[in-house]
Order: sequence, then C-alpha cells, then structure tokens
Amino acid sequence: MAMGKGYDYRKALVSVTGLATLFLVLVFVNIIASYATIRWDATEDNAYSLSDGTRQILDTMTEPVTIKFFYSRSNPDIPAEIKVYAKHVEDFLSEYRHVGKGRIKVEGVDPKPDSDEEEWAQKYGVEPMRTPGGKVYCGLVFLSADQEEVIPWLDPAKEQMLEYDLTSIIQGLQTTEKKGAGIISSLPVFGTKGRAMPGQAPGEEWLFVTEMKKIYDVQAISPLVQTIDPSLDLLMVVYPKNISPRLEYAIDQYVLSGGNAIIFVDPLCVSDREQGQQQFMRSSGTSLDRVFKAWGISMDPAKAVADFGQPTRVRTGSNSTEDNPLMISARGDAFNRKDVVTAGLESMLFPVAGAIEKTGDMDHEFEPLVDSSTNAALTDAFNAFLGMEAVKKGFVSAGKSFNLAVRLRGKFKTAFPEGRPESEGPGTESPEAPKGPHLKEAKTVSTLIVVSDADMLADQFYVQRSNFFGLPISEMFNDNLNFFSNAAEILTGSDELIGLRSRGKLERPFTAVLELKREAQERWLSKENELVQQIEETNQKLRQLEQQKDGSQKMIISPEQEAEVARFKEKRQKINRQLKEVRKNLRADIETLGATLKGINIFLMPFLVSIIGIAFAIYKQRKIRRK
Amino acid sequence: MNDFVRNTSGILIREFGGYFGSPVAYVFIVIFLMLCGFFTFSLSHFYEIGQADLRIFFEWHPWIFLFLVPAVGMRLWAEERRTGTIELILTLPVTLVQVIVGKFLAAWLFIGVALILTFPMVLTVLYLGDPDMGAIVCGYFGSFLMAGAYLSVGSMTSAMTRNQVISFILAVVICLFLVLAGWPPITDALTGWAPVWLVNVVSGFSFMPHFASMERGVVDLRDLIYFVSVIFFMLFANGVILQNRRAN
Repeated sequence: MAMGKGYDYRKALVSVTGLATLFLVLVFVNIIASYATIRWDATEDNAYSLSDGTRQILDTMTEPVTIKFFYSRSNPDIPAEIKVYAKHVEDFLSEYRHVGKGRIKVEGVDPKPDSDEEEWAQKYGVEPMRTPGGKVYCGLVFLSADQEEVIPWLDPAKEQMLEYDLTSIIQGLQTTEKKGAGIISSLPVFGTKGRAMPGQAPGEEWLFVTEMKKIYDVQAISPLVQTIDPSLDLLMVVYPKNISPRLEYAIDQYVLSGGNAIIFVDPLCVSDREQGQQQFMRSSGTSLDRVFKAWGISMDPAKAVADFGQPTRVRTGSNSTEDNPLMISARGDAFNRKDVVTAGLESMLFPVAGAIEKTGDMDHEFEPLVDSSTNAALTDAFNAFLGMEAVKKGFVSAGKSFNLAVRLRGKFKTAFPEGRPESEGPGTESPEAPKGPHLKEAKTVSTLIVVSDADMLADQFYVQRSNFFGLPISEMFNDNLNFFSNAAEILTGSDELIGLRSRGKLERPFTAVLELKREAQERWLSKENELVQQIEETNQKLRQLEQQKDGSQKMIISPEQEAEVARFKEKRQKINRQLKEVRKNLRADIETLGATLKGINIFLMPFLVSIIGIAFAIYKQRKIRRK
Repeated sequence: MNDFVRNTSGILIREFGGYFGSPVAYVFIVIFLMLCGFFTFSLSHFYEIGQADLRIFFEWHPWIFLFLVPAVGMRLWAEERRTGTIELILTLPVTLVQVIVGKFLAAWLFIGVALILTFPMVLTVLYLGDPDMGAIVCGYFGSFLMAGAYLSVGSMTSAMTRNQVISFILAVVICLFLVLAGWPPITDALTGWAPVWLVNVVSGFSFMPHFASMERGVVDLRDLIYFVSVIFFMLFANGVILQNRRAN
C-alpha cells in the first residue's frame, strides 16, 4: 500500500467510486432477490402460509383486486381482542399481496371520526363497532374492475374462516358470472314472511342460504316443476316431504343429465313446524324412495339412529341435563378423513338422523362421509317425542356404525324406466311443458351427497347469534355449515377452495390467567351462594315470626320481629360488604401475577447482571492488588 | 483461509473478553434489559393484552437498538484512533479485514448476549400460555440480525472520527433514517403526495419492513439478503475509510 504525503485525492476518488459501485451492486442484488419467493414459515401451524388452494386461485387470477382494510388504528380505545385480530388480518393480507405478485394491492385506511375516510367506510358499508371511546371500524372492501365486495366487520370468532372468506371473495371477483344453484325444499329456508319459526326470527332466511348466495346465484325451485334445468351447477333438495312422482322424475333426469346434487332427507324433521306428532304418524319423513333405489341406497324413514357413543348433552324440560343419543354429535373418527368434504371437520350436530344403507352391489362409488359410532342402533324415530326412557328401553347396540352422510359418484340409471310418470290429476299439472328427451342412463358422471338429516341446516343447530356493542355477531359452534359449503363447492367444481377452512387459530391466550379467572369466579360463586342462602334463612326466620302472631297482632310488629328485622338488616349489610370484598379480590390474584411478572422482567435480570458486574470488578481489583 | 479464521477469532476473543472487563458493558446490558421489560409491560401492556407471543416485545427492538447499538459501536474505532492504538493494530501481522470483522463480530456477539439475557420473557410466555416457539426463535434471529445491521453502521461511523460522541450521533442519525423510512406512520404520510414507487424504494432501504416478517415468524430470503447487504456495505465502507486514513 503506497503511503503518500498529504491527502491522496486519487485514492479517495477510487474509494468513493468503489463504494458507489458496491452500493449499486448490492441494490441490484436486492432487486433481483425481490423476485424470489423463498420463505420459511417458522410458526407451528404454518399460520402465515396460504394454502395451496389459495395459491392456485391467486396464480390463475386475471382481474387485479384492491383490498382496502378499514381499521381505526388511531382510536386508543380499541378492545385488545380486536387489536390482536386486526394485526393478524394485516399480516395475512400482506401474504396475499406477496403471493398475488402485483395483482393484489392492499391499502390500509384509518377512518378517523368525521374524516373523508369515514365517509368512504360508510359508503362501502363497513360497519363500526361502538365503544365508549368512539366508533371502531375493522372491515375489508374488495374492489376489482366494476365489482366490489365487503366484509363489513371482521369477527375475531371467525378467524379460522378468514382465508376462506378472503379467497372466496377474490375468486368471486374474477368472474361476473356466479354459478347457479337451485333449492327444492319443503322447509321455509328462504325465510317465512311474517311467521316465526321456533328458534328462528320471523322472516329470516336460513344462514346457509345467505352464505350460499354470497357465492352462487341461488334460486328456489318450486315443487311443482316438471323439469330441472340441467345447466344448473348444483341442485339442493332439502327435506323432500311428500313430493310428487313428477318432481322425483325431474330430479332423476337432472342427475342423469350430469347434474350434481346434495340431498337432505330426514326421518324426523324438528324444524318442520307443520309436522306435528299426528302428522308425523301419518306421513313418512322422506319420499325419494324411488330414486334412492336406483342410486343403490335406502333410508328407513321411520327409523332414527340412537348413538350412545356420540350423544349430545341437552337441557330437558325439568331443567336438568341429559345425554340424548338421538341428537348425534359427530366427532373425530366419525368423519371420513380421506374425503375433502370432511377431512378438516371437527364436530357436527345431527338432530334426529336416519341411517343411509347401501342396497346390494352398484357400479358407482359409494363413500361414507360421516358415520355414527359403533355403540348405536336404529330406533323408532317417533321415540324422539317420547323422551329418553323410550329410547333407552330395549336399546341393544347394533355393534356397527351407521352412515349419516354419504357421497355417490358414477353414471346412474333412471328410476323411471317406463318414462315420465303420468299427471296426478287436475290441479297438480304445472303450466310448464316438460322439456328434453327421457334419459334412461347417464352419459356423464355425476356426484351426489346424501345426508340423513335436514335439521343440521337449521341455524339453531350450528350458529349462536349474539350482540357485541350493537353489532350482530354469529358464532359457529360446530362444522355443520362447513360441511355444507365444502359439499357445495366440491359439487360445483371449484376444488381449490376446499381445504381452506378450519385453519388453526393464531390467538394464543394466557391459559394460566384464564385458569386463575375461572378459579376466582368459582370462589366468587360459592361465596355468593353461601351468602344468598344466609339471606334466605334470615327471611325464613322473619316469616316464621309472622306466622307465630295471632290475628290481633297482625298489624303490629312484635319486639321479637323488630329485633329480627334489625338483625336481618345488619346481617344483610354485612353480607353485602363481604360480597363487595369478594368481588374486589376476584381480580387480585390475576393482578398480583401480572405485577410479579412485570417485576421479574424489568428488574430481576438487570439486578443479577449488576451483581455479577460488581462481583467481577471486585475480583479483578483484588487480583491486581495481589500482584 | 485458516489464517483468516485464526486471526479473526483471536481478535474476536480478545475484544469480546474486553467488553466484560469494562463497567460500560454491564451498564449497557442493564439499560437494554430494563428498557425491553419496561416498554413491553408498561407501554405496550403485554400482560393486559393477554397473548402468549413475543411480538409486542420484538416490536420495541428497532427503537431500543437505535440508541443502544450505536453506543456499543462508537468505541470500536474512535477509541483506537484517539489513543493511537490503531497504528499499533495495523502493524500487527493481521489484515485490516480481519481486524474489522473480528471487532465487529465481538461487538455483535456482545449484543447477542444482551439479547439472550431477555430469556425471562420467553419463560414468562411459556408459563402464561402456549406460545409458538418457532415464531419466538425466528423473532430472536431477526432481532439479532437487525442488531448486526445497526452495529455495522456504528462501526462505520466510528471509523470516521476520533470523537466517540460524534460517531454516536452520526450512527443514530443514519439508523434513524433507516428506521423511519419504512415506519408505517411515515410511509403513510408520504403516500399522500409522493409517487408510490418512490415511497416503496425509500421504505425498501429501511430496517422496519424487513424486520416485520421475521418478528412474526416468517424468514424471507429477501430480508436475509437485505440485512447481509447492509452489514457488508457498511463494513466495506468501514474498511475504505480506515484504508484512506492510513494512507493519509
């Protein structure tokens, strides 16, 4: 290295040029690297990795989508739960942006009170949650070409569905055409106009229909039709009660033309208001026997599966609880893990389901989706009205499981070899003329999913609606709707969306704190019970004194009564004080734990480090002195 | 190559041991640990939020490092230049690169020790809930890498002057730019009037977006390349500056 006298400008110039070159090279390397998508998700459940289905959909998307995340981040009073969830949503959206490779744009918008942003939020239909500190917005708006979709409020309880929700909306925006689905039902699934259903608000559409409408173009098919449009992507038959042979024929022909269908039959439909006990005795729950026979299956409409292996705990009229085997809570092994419809499901509820049986050999596939446990047997469906004793009486486990839901796939044969059934008399003839030739055998493969219970679609059996600061919140407590949407998607051919739902939750609560809270609440309850009982006893004493008096004394308070009243008042005051004390102590344990942990984390280590530092310094000094 | 490793590790060990001989190191660690605990628990309400993850804790690191890491880096070269020992070092049978790398690694390792001493946080979340250890390990890795980038800036500014205070201030200013350029409140304000590509370019230079994904448990090759690039560039500049000083 040459050592020069004075400042070597040439050398400095070379150095600066070298630095600038290196800088440019590094910037270039970083730009090149920005095209690489090598990532490693170190989280346990690959929480930040989008599933293959989403990736495929994002890879094939043609219309760019802009996602606006309306979130009131500047509001200091956002509940912690919402704050945590909003962060997760943000992270998740950044994954979409990353995988979308420029076709997905994510914009964060903070709708402050009375700002333009707030006006946009209102315009798009993003709904705020009202807190004491003001409105909190947390919703998504999807924009693509001239279409827009909104998630008005991101519900933390639906976190598992987040990817599915986002992906299905993005996919929906790729095409203006929705797939068509038709529903034939003898239940008021589209809502009752003004009439209230048990457990259902009057006029309200069933949730599964509302959810379906988000993805499909849903139409109600009248039970009087003679033909079902074969171009329909999906046919749903929900509780086909007493349907005409004409309609059965229409369903048969629809399936033979290559159409896919989901069919819900039921030995006893508790959601059917019109089905009183008497009527139940007269008519059977389902009347698709003829096509079922052609499809190689059967279900005895008078028999329900009593599953003592998977009962549901229900509250009885006398306010006690019992395990009801007719209300089947399917869990774990009940689901066919190999089938995409049921692979990710955890629990489903079937209120009074029948057993679908395979009748003889068939040329098409028969795949059970949900089964009962082996500690089950068939019982009269009517026993559901008679109570548990009737079910228990004479129960002998069949030692085998029964199919509650199955999937059939193949080329089916007609159930009406002689052709279209004749008209059933005047008045039943629909004005619509039958179309198309009679099909005896299917040319293409169709898929059918048959479920032996229709009540599982009723809102009350899978969703709990509540109100959170004025916002309606629906919380799913089982996978009934997931089963249905999986099934509908499989049958409409959009396989990519399958497997997206039921993701793990990112939320990881402090279980230790929750446990403390639970213990404290238990203590509080027992104390409260004790005190309430004491009040009751005192009241009792007062009443006794009242009864001891004769008629002439009725209006006068006896000295004993007076003393008892005074004692009672004093005691009540004491009890109230104690209750207050208990309430105060309720959070004490939790707060103490918090303070301890805070102390340890802020002061303990620094203290130890200081001690070590001082000890080391003293040791060194002594060593030097000794030398 | 063997020579390089031997010489560098020699310097590393000597320097690293040197840290624990001075009270400044202990003061640094104590301040770092107290700030981490205080910010996480008192300002971010870690306990009240009730989530068994350490993101809140890691979110403070860019800000805590902003002042503490330049404090570690400032004495790397400024001290040697002030006392003149730099001449001595450069006459030793080791190359400049070996000294730079050795000193840098020793300081980096020292910061690593400070980071490791935050382990009670990990024990706390393990006690309170069921944390995702993958994400936590990834967060620590990201934080350590980012600390390296901060330190490389400090090392470079330290070589520029013989005054430690000036070195510290310079490092803080550069690091502040590297933090703020990608800090969402700043980028959000910029998007109002600057073209999006410009905002993206500027924020691309920042530590923040590159640390963000590691903080939540995702290791992205681009983030690794970014931090390694910053460290490499700053240490190269460090070398160029020292080379020039020596030449003059």
